[in-house]
Amino acid sequence: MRRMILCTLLVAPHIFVAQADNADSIKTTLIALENAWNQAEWQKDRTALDMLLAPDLIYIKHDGSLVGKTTYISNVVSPAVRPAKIASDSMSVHVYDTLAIVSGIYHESGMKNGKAYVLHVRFTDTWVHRGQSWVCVASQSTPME
Amino acid sequence: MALENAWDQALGREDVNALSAIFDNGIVYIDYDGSLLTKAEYLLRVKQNDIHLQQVVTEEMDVQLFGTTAIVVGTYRIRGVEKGKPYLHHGRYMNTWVLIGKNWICVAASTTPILR
Repeated sequence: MRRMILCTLLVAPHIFVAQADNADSIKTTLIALENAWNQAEWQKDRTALDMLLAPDLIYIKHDGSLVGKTTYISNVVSPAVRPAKIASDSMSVHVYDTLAIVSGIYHESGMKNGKAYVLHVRFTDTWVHRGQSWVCVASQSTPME
Repeated sequence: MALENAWDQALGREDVNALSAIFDNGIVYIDYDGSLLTKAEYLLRVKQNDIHLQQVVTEEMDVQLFGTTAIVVGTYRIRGVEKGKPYLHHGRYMNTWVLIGKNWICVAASTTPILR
C-alpha cells in the first residue's frame, strides 16, 4: 500500500501539481515524499529510493563524507545495517518555483555490523521538479550537539 | 563561486548588509553543531561580533547546476575564536543558490563536521 502511495506521488505528481499550483499543495507533497523516503529506508526498498533520488544526487553524510546515489543506496540496503527506528520531525518546507528546500530533524537507531548506533541529525534536502516529478538532488545531515 | 567568495569577504568585514543581500529571507542555515538559524539570527551573530575568524581555508569547491538552481559543495578549515574560546573546524558545506530575477540568492546553507 505504501509503495502504491509512493508511486502515485512520483509517477503522477502532476495530479498534485495540477490540483493547485500553490505552495501548500507542494509542501504536502514534499512532506509525503520525505516520509516515503523514510519508509523506503526502513524497507530497504531500492526501487523506491531510485525513484525518489536524482541520478546526480549529492549526499553529505552525518560524518561529513560525500557520496553519490549508488553508494548511498548500497549503504541503505546493506544487510549489515538493521534499523530499529527511523523517524523525522520538525520538518519545514520552503518552495521556490521548481525548487524546494526541506529541513527537519531525523532520528535513526539500530544495529550496524553488530553494534548499536544512534543518529540524531538535522537535515536539509533539496528537491527539484523535473519533468512531472519532484526528485531529491541534494541532501546533507549534520549531527545535533 | 564569485558569490561564495563575496560571502567569505563580507563575513570577514562583518558586513551585514552585503550578507543580507545574498541571503533569501527564508534561508535555512544549519550550523556546524546542527543548530538551525534564521537569516536574522545569523546576521545578528555576525553583527554581535561573537565570532572572530583567524584563518579560513577553502580546500575544494564544486558547483553543480540543476536548471535555475546551483548547489555548491566544498570543504574548509576554519581557525577562530568564539565567545573567547578558540576553535578549529574542518567541515563540508553545501550551499543552495537559486536564480531569482537576475540575481542568485542563497536559500540554504549547511555544514557538517568531517569526522574522518
